[in-house]
Amino acid sequence: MKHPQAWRGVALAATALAVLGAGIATANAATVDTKGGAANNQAKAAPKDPTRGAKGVAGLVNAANAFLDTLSDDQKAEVLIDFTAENAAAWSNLPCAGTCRPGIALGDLTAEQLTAAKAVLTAATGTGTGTGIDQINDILAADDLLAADYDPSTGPGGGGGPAPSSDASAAPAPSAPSGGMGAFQYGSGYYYLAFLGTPSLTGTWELGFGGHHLAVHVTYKNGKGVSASPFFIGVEPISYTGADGATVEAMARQKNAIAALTGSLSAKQLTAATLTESFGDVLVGPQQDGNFPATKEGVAVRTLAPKQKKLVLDAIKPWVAVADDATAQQLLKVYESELDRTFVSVSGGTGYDTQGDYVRIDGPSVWIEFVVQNGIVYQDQVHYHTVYRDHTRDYGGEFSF
Amino acid sequence: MRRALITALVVTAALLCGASPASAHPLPHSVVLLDVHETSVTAHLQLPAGDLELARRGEPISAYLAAHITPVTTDGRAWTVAIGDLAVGRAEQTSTGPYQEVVATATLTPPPGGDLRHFIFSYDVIVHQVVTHTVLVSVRQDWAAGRVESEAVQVGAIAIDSRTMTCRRWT
Repeated sequence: MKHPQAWRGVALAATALAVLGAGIATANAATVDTKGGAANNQAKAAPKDPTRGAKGVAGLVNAANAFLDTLSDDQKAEVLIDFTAENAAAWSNLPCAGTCRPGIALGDLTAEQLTAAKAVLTAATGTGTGTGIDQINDILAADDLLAADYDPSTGPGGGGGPAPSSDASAAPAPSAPSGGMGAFQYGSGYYYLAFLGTPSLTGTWELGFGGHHLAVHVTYKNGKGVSASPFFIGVEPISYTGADGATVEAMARQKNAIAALTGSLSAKQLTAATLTESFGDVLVGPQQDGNFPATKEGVAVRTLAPKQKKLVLDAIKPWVAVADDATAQQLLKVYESELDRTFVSVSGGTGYDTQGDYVRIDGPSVWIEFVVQNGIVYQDQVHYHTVYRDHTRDYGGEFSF
Repeated sequence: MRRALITALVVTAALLCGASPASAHPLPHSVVLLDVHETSVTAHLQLPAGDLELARRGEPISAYLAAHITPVTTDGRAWTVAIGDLAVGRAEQTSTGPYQEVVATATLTPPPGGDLRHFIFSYDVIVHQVVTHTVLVSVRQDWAAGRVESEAVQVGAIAIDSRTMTCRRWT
């Protein structure tokens, strides 16, 4: 598992830097670089602490500028794009590399640029275990396994293929995206970072990061995070052995929270929650912006016991926690205040081990879907697709669909 | 029950639909290829097995298909539908990865005087239940009208509108 390890190693380094930065922050909290980061340095070297000791969005803007300063003009043009509805909506959950999403490929970056990019992601995402940057690292590592185990000449491992293991030493280097896999491009090198609009503490801009099974969009207005959606996250394989020999279940937080919620429903509540339709995928996925069903269905959260209401909020949390902690906190407050107007619905079973097992949380603002699909590369296993949206805040609420 | 209604304009076969079939589908879709003969239309069905299983809920496949393919003439008279042999195979569409599919053939015969090239297809296999599914309908051959190209011409897409959770009617 060479490359997932490499990715994880760098990410840990970035996290360490961020922690270091937090220490400095007390003395230097308001430092925001407004002159374009390290432009005055002789070399295009990323600073040791890309956030320059600033917390939250200020630190993110510093890290973004530090990253931009490591790039050539051509690379900058790939990263910095206009914040239009068309660019915002151009994302996918598919392994379609750069053909279906904007930004610069991690695999096209030098080691130094990659470190700077990861500092940006670390500053933009949550610090929780199993969520935020920790979870993103696991999703990318899972995709490195897919890259190693997907054989385009014979197709996937078939029904009886070996379970994914840590022996992924054949994974292509993240630094070397190349063709040869037809329509598929698996691996952590095929994840793309983009800034829609200019990273700044004034005005509106969005950070976009995505690849196979991942689409992160966090939008900022005047220095505050206002939206962490749409956020698509899925994973295959759902369980694998990590570089340190430990079992990694990249989406355990989401799956366990969903299972705890639906497991708490009484037979009567479950009947009320059950939809007549079946789902092979999420309903409001990529290119479905604004296509929320007009009618909310399922069991009304206001009819649930207080403990169950808390489970609903707990189930929302792992998705919202993709954003930096302060932004996530703000959004969760909104969703908590709207719980009594929120509905939970299910389809299929509640074991989350069979194609079509499905859960939806639909409120005035929050929209979460979790669905189990058959495996693609590991066809003897299921895998998860999920999406978190906000009825009014997707892409910062900048566009109407 | 919701009904996907599609008027198969077989002769002109130039119908464009709004289900954006050109963009990659996260999941495999159904493919329906229509061959127009002198007295009947053959529908070749390629159905992703996973979604078919979710949709038919244990009902035998032939009976299930017959219940969800109910073409009628434009003045409302029913066609007869005969489901032929079924086969299971492996398929792959752009960006879906390989998957199992069920291949079936349905012979659609109009009532006396029924127009082979203008009818309401009334097809909702899988989509009546699996609301994330899409069906692409194409005309492959129409010998009598001079269509013999190897490339099929897409005439319509059948999908659920998730805002209203209903099927749209294409005409």
